[in-house]
This record gives sequence, C-alpha cells and structure tokens, in this order.
Amino acid sequence: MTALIELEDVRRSFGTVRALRGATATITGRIVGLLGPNGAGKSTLIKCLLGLIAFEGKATVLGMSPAREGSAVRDRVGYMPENDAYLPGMSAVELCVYAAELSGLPRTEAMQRAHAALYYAGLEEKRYQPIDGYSTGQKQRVKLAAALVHDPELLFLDEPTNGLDPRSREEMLQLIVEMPERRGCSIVLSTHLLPDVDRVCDDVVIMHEGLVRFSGGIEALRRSVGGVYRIEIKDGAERLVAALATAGVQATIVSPIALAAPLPDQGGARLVFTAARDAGVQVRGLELEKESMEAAFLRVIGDRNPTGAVVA
Amino acid sequence: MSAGSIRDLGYKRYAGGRRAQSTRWRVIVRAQVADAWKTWWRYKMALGWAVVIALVVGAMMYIGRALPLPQGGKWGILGNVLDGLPPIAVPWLCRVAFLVGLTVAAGTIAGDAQVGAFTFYFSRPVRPIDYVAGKLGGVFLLMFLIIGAPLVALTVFRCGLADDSAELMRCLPMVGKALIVGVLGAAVFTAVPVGLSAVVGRRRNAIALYATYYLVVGSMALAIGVAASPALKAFDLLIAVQSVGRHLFDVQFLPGMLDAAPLGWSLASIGLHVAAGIALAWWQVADRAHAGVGGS
Repeated sequence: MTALIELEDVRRSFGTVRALRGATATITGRIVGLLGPNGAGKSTLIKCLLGLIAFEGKATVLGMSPAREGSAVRDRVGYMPENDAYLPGMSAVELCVYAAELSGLPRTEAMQRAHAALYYAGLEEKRYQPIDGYSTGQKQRVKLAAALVHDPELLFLDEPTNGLDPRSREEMLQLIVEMPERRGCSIVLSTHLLPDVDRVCDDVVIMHEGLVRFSGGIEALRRSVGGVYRIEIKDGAERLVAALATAGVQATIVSPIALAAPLPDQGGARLVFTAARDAGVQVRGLELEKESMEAAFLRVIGDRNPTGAVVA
Repeated sequence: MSAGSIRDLGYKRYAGGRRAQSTRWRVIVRAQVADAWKTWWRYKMALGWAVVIALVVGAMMYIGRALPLPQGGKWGILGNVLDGLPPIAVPWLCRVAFLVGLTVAAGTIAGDAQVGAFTFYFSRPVRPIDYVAGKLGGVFLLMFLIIGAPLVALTVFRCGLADDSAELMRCLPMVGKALIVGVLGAAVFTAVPVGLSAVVGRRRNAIALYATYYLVVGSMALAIGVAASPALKAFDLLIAVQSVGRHLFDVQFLPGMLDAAPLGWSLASIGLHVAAGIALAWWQVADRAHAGVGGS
C-alpha cells in the first residue's frame, strides 16, 4: 500500500518550545487516528503536512512535499477544522461553492460538487439557509462538506465529533466510516476521544512530546494481556473455575457469565472446552483478552523511547 | 471488489483541471463583491447616492451649457464651468466612499478574523498574498464604482455636450483624467480601511478605528493645513483626492479654506496611505494566517 504520509525526522520549534522533535513514521491505511495529549505536536504536525509552516526534516503527503508544494498538497487534501470556520451570511451551498472554487474547480463543477457534498453530509434540505442559524451538528456537517467538496484524496478531520449530541456523533462517525468506500479518500482523524478512534479507525498514530510514539494498526497497538483469555459462558461459572483448577489453570470470575483465564499458547482452547464439558457448562465465546484503547494509549505515551516511534 | 461490499457507484472522482494558483484571488474578489451586494444598506444604497450625485452634477452641466455664460471672470468660473463641474462631484463621492468604507471595507479582514474564516481560507490552496489581493481587489472594485465610474460617466457626458469636433478633442483627455482620479480615490479609500481592518480582530473595532482615523486625523490635518501649511491638508484623504482632481482638471474657482492642497503633496499622501494600508494588511494577514489551522 502506498504511504499516505511519510515523516522523517520532522522538527519544528516555536522559540524555545520544541513542538516537533524528530517525528518519524510511515502512515498508511484508510482511516488513521491521530492521537496525543495536549501539546503532543498534533496541531503543529497538521500545519506542517498542509504546507502552512516551515519545518526541518523530510515529509511527504501523497508523495508530494508540503515544504515545496504546499498549495499542490492542499489541492489534493481536505481539512475540516475543529473550530467554526464559515463565513457569516453565506448559505451552505454558497460556502461549499466558494470552497471548491478556492481549490481551483471551475464554477460549474464547483456548483455540482457542492450540492453533491451537502447531500452526502445530509444537509440537502437546509443547504440554502444561512449557516448562522444552523445547529452545532449541522455546522459540523457543513465543515465536512466544505472539506470534501474539492474531491480530496486525503482528509484531515480535527475533532469532528466535538460538541455533538450522541445521535449526531453516531451519524458523524458513520459518515466517516463510509467515506473511504463511498468517496474514495483516506482519512486522518485527529481527536482526543479514544472511543471514536476505536470505533472508526484501522490504524493509529500516537504522538507525545513532539515524537511519534506509535504508528500502526489498532490490533497491533492493543497488546494481549499476558496471554489471558476471556471465556464467555451461559452459566455455572463456579463449576468451570473448579474444572479449570483441576487442569492447572487459575481462572477468575469476571461476571456471572465471563471468566478470565491465563491459557497456554498451545492447546489452551482444547483445555477450556474439555473442562467445560466435564463441568457441564456451555461456552459461548473464547477470545484473547486485549488492552483497552485507553490502557494501550497510556502505556505508549508512558513508554519513554528517545529514539522516536514505537512501530508495530 | 468482494461480492458483499457496497460501493456508491454514482460518485465519480474529479478528473478535470484545476485553475492556476494565480487565479484564486479573483474568486475572493467575486465573493467580496457578492457579499457587499447582498444587503441594500451595505453597498446598494451608497451606489444609489453616487448615481444621484452624478445625475445632479450632470444636470448642472446640461443647464450650464444652455446658459449664455461670458468668458473670463475673476476666477475663471464662467470660462471653465462645464469642464470644472465633474471634479465638483469628487468630495461628495468620497464621502459616499467613506460610508462604504464603514459598511464594507473596514470589516473585510477583521470580520474574517472574528469568525475564524482564516482557517477556511488558508487550509485551502490560498496563500496570504492571494487573500490580501482578493480582499483589496474586491473593495477596490466597489470603491471604483462609487468614485471612478460616476466621474468617468460625467466626463463622457461632458464630451457629449461638445458643440464641435474641436471642442470634443479638447474634452477627450478629461476622460483619462477622471479615470486617474477615480483610480487614486478608489485606491486610497480601499487601502486605508482594509489595512486598518487587518490590525484589529473584530469588525466593530475596525469600523471605529477607521472612522476615528478618517474623521480625527483628517480634521486635524485640515485644521493645521489651513492654519500653518497647506501641504498638510493633503493628509486628509478627501482633500488629497479632491486636490488631485482640481489640479488635473485645472479648476480655478471655489478658493478658500477648502482649496486644493499642492498636487505633489496630495499624490504623496495618497501613495503613502495606499502603501501603508497594503503593507499593514499583508503584514497582519501573513502573521496570523495559520493561527486557527490545527486547532491552536
């Protein structure tokens, strides 16, 4: 797969503050989460990748250098900002047409694509009304449509679910999930909300203190917890614990219908099913227990590695 | 594609060309004009006043032509009354331009800064120079329609009033002079409010700042100019443009307090104001352009 973004020792300082201290990563995937605590360097990295500020080191976005071809990069990349970024008095259609024309599309094409983008974002009925009167959720949708309208190959979404009620948040996440298939663009989702990343992203980049601390798939990020398996059962937890103890496995009851048990790599599943048969317990699920996103995130940013990225 | 996957087959990627980077400022010019045109009180009303001023002066020219005016006179008023009437419209048109400066120009950049529109522009393939050129270009166009177009129309009308081809040939250069006055007037009444608009972050403050500059600095320059040195009068924007008009059209009547500042000083003042306004706008926009991108 061609890399969306390649970073090689990217550095940027603001006075004495070193916002990026040698970020290095190769970012691929359809929907990539960009995570990091405040001050991690996410905003600075996005500015660098959009070609808005100068930096040291090497970076490419879709094979282009943002340092030398900033405008060309922004022609092919969309950006949905966290803050309100619309022009008062304009309707959604006017804003999207304007956005498309600023990205170099001819007016007729801009008009067609503006309507299509607003339709995709679910604003077809409100598109002629001034944006000033929109709800927070509708404004988020306008920003998404404006970011999409020039047909970008890569889309940076900055906190797209900020301020949304649960239903709007779910709808926004659904739009994001469908976008690579329906619009053919890849997404970099910058957010603080780990559940959002867990819900929609395939890959994740974790930044901390100006460095990329992890870059890779979410499954690779979430380590197995010491070979512990989660066993889901219908009932009879105590009986199964006793049967497993007979087989030399110290299981613990997580809930009336779930156990946690450290199992050997070889033959672990057979051992569980044998014990369940002996105890007369119905097993409904058996999976390797993995860290939560939060635990994995905290582990990565706490895992100080001066050389840079923890690459899976 | 796997058998189970669903794709939006109606969507097609954009395969056409994109306009050159150097054309993006024109999009901003068009948006600026369209925005000003939306409400009647921001621009249309002022344009209506400019048309009324042009009609009144045009009517004066038409009536003046019919009067049996003798040549000569103390200030030459009777000799060049027809040629001198178009620049009479200049101060009135400049006052209308000042109002447009308040309703449109002064809020141009400040309004964008206030609502976070810099992020909208600069996360796209728009450079600060495209933005500043677009904003200045849009306001300039609006101002030229207020100051320049009526002046040019009046001088064309003056040519139409010529009795013979010799008078017509004598009058034709007036069209070019009107164009020069219109361009200079539009430039200075554009650059100053737009430049000041870039300094503050709120539309209301930008309007107050421009009104204060125009009225207070202009009044002080006029007062000091009358009392001490006529050259200082040129630092009043209206007087500067009016003076250029009077010198170019060689108007010799209406002497006194409102008489022209020296041509050189007027041109220098206009040049200085335009350069300062553009520099201020560029400096501020380039400095703050990327503040909102990336969320901080």
